[in-house]
Amino acid sequence: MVCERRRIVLNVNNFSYEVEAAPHETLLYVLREKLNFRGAKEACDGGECGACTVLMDGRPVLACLILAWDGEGRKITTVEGLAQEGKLSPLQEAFLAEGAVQCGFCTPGMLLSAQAFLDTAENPTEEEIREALAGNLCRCTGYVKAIAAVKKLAKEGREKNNGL
Amino acid sequence: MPLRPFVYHRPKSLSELLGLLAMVEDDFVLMGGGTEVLLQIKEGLKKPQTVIGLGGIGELSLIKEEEDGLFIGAGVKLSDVANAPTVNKHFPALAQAARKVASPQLRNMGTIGGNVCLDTRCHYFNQVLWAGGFDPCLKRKGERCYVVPAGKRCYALFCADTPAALLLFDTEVRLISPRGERKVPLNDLYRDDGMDHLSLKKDEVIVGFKLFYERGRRSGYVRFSPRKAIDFPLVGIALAVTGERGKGEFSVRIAATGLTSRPLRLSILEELIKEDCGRDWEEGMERLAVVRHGGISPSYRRHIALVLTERLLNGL
Repeated sequence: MVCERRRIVLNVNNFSYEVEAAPHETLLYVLREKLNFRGAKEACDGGECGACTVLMDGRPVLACLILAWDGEGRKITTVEGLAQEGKLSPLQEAFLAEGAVQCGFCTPGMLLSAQAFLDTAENPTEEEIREALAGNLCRCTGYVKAIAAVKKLAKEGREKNNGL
Repeated sequence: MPLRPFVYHRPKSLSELLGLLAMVEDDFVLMGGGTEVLLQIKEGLKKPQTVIGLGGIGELSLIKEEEDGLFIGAGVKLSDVANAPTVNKHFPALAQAARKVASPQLRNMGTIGGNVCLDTRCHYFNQVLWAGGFDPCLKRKGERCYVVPAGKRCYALFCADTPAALLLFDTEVRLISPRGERKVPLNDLYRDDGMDHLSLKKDEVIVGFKLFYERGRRSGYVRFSPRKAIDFPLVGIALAVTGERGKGEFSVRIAATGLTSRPLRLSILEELIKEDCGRDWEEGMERLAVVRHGGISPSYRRHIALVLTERLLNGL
């Protein structure tokens, strides 16, 4: 059996990175250990907790169950890609304002799930927000404040769109 | 948990895949979205030398309306099945089932083909991290079943959501292999054997599913699971009706997941409901062999199946 490593190109947060990877290395491993994107977390490593969530072409997926080779040609966003020019994104600000963070381990995944949801949802109900965050487990603060943050932002976005 | 090393192929077309299947000599597994295959490799339940990823084959991810029904490619993501307007219009039970699977992330990764082929589940097989603490069960290539110690076979449960819904629509499975193409009714794809629940040949690949339209049909899917999200159903029930109960033409179809080692039509229950002669449904369900699993008694599982059936029946 020959498992050849090869150089792959990953597009992460709008930059292209060339990196050597073996076929059995997960996207999470390559992002964290080779490209130093430590925002994606390794927790359960089995698709149950959502801590390793990244966006692939705008949709939340779990980097622990994706092979790095399969990330080629896709647009990958990690939590590091949310802040622009050193300024937190509105969603990150909303999380801060609502106090939706305690230990912070689940936060990157939750932010990315929420961001992908806000990018497509119009006028979401609380039930829809809960469903969108259902794949991200938090074991300390709970979900109430994170949901409040997303709700607040969705409402602000709506007001802005309505010219209020 | 690092993955065990393997050779990885990612064909770009069906013809490339067939060439690969005809050639590959190693022990290989086919991988759709990878949410189960990669997990099983991590847990040491599968030790393939070669993994063939199907994610790059565009032909597998089409949803196509045909004259008498809808074709859904095996590689269509579960989130796309759940959101497709045609699926919601003609096959709402399938859209509802797809929407219940795992979590948003896993639905963006997992495919309908993978969900249909999902491995069976058991506390002694794929729900244990402490598996080293006892002799392996049958499905782990050991010599005994811990669920039914006197049994000769494996009783692991089939728990995927979408197959129950697919069973309502006369779904036909389109298969391809280097030896040619064939079609089988979805019902014949399964057998009630927890160890080996699919009647697929090693080199056969599911291309997609053909679901058939029917005028006036209403359908739905509900399930009961310990947790609402990121969980498998204890029992899932899909139900389709045409006509009105007790008013002339009326037909009902019911399919279940989570009860045995395969998804199945509950024909006994269908008949009892159709006859509507006041006979006890509970009694009818008794005829279905269900085993005690994970501390859940057979009678409780049957009871849930009935409750879910009634909910659907009253809601449609």
